[in-house]
Amino acid sequence: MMQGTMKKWGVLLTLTLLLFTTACGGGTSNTASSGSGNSEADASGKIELRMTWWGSQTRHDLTTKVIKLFEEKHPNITIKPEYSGWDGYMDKLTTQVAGSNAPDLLQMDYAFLSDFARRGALLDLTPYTQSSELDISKHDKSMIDAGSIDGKLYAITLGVNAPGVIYDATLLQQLGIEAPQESWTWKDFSEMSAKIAAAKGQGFYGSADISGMTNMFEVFLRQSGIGLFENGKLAATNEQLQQWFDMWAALRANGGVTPAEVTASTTNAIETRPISLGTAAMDFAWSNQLLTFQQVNKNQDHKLAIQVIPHGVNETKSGEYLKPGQFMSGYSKTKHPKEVAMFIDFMVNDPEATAILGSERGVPVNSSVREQMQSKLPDSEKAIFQFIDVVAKHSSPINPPYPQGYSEVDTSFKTASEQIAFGQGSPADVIQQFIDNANAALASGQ
Amino acid sequence: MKMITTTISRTRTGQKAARTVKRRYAHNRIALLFLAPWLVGLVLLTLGPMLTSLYISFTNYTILNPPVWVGLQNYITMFTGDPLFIKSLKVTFTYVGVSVPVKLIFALLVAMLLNRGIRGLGIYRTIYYIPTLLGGSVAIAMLWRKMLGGDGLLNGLLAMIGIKAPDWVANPNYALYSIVLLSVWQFGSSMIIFLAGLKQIPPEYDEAAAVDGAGAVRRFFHITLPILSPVIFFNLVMQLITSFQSFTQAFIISNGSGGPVNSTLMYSLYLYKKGFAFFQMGYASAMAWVLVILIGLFTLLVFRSSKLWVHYEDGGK
Repeated sequence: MMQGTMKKWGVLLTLTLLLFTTACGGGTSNTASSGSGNSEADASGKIELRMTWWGSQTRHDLTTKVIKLFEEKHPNITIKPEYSGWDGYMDKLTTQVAGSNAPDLLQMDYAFLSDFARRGALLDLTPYTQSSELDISKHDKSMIDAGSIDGKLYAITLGVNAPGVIYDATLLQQLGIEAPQESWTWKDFSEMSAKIAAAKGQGFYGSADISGMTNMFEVFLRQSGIGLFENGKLAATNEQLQQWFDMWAALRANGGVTPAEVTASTTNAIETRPISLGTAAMDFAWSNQLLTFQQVNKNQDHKLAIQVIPHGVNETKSGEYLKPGQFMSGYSKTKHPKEVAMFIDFMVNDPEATAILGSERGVPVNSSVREQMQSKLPDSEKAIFQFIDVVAKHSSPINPPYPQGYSEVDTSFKTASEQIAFGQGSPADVIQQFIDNANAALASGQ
Repeated sequence: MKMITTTISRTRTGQKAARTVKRRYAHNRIALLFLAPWLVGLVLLTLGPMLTSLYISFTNYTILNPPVWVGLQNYITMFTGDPLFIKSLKVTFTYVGVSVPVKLIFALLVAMLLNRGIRGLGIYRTIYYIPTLLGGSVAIAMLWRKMLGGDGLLNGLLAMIGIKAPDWVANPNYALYSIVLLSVWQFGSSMIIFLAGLKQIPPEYDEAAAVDGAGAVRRFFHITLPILSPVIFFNLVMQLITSFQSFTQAFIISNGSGGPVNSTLMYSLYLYKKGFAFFQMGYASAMAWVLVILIGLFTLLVFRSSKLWVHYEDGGK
């Protein structure tokens, strides 16, 4: 009898546990199926890939279109898109990689590429360039190099970008202010900002205050011949930081750029930038973003244009550089590396797909695609192509990828700019504090 | 177990004892069976991750690389070389110190208003409870951001009466308090508990005191508050624990940055940034354990102090 009850208990216990585990499993079945559902043994031959990228609504729409087109041509492959804005994108991706459930296809950023590749999170694409899946024969050599780490190709450039100043050309014309020239300097920028603000009156600014944007400060540093980092340490000197923040402080004082509160409520999303809201005439951005800036602008009858980042007064070299805007990479643990390579190839080489994507991610990396496109470009995109041509003539090579600890330095820099803008602490103290924080973060990252 | 039963069953009294042991044991087994789902959950989903995080807190773990043992280094850095950690403590203490008392006082006030025997109590109770259900959500935090922003609803109203107000969420002097306000707005659960406590107070005490000439204020401080003190105690402990862990509102309102100028850098938000934005999982885990200890300490403090101000009608037995 004892044994009989034991058995009953046993069965009951198993059932309870089973119930519990299935209940738990419910939440994760999605990710589980996308992993196991991929296995070659799938009877119907259906393959599902997950793909993630960051960007604006424009990019989401275009990329989804390309995915549809790919699915039409390859009926056995479906691609599940997972897109978001830039804020929080890398956080999420890192967590997914740590949890071994990252998407098969991932959009990568130059700053994070070496970190991810060296830690084994990315798929080595080299074998697929040797077989027929991924053709890189017409890709620019410099961009292939940028996507390679330790001699292995981990990332394909989706578009070539350069930093620039986006300005409201129509407005400048209305105000009778001459548009920025290729040779303009920071002094010209400051004077122009103040002039615009004075002409338009309260609540309108010459430019967004971007004193907290690390990558624009980097351009400023490059003009004096150094990068942001040198041998894993912060290369910017106290004086250079002082000079940078002083310039922006003067502009805040004369109304040339947005005041602290307005800057603090602005995010990286293009839709929230002052120029998009019709409260500023200039902003600092990447060349490919001109397209979205134009599309989301409040004044649709205004025409936006782009010019190089203002030059330094005694600059030793041009701060401008060409950057692989975004990369497409594969996840190292993907079950379908071949299909991943096929899709990347489709994105950068297929005439139809590249026509849809245009230069929203930057100027295409494939030279024949570029030539084909140039003939039938809409005006907005023509400006981007021309700008890249201008920069290509005078740019200096891109600095090596940022060291580990960069994201903390980036945050710290933004905080420092806010501290100065809100008048919390003397600039000299804030700057010293930033240097200390940055070097501590870089040291702990090594 | 079988061996124990056989040895005991040698004597007659032992047999009796064995039966009781067995019965008690059987009893436990049923209990364990019913507890099984929860126990499995505890071990797999809570205890396991907790022990892992304890281990990780002694390592340098960048998520993509395996953890490297560093001993107490994370804990030492926290208290000696991380100004942002100290800043996040300050922000959190300010938040807890302001939001918890204000919320409790507000909840008690509303509860007392509702306790006046008004009609349709159920409806009011529901209405005032709704913010608690919604308040923790991302949507409400977004709404808050819009409402209190530079050209938001509030400033629009203020502008109508000629006041030029700052951007409440983008100004480092006010940003934290706009989050405090959001938390106070979710007073519902405390209010419901207060209301239940108020209903327990026999009206005779109040009437007797009124006959003896005690005014409303005096009756509140000498009758209502002392009798209600166990409920206040409970609410205080619960609010303290949740406030220390507050994350969502600060994350959404500051757009994940804890800004402007780190003025809304709550402890949990900094912990999250360390772990998921700066990839220092070891440090983040260590912070989590310091938070556990902090909350434990504060709860203990409240428990210890309760002897002085919490009155139980049965003398606390």
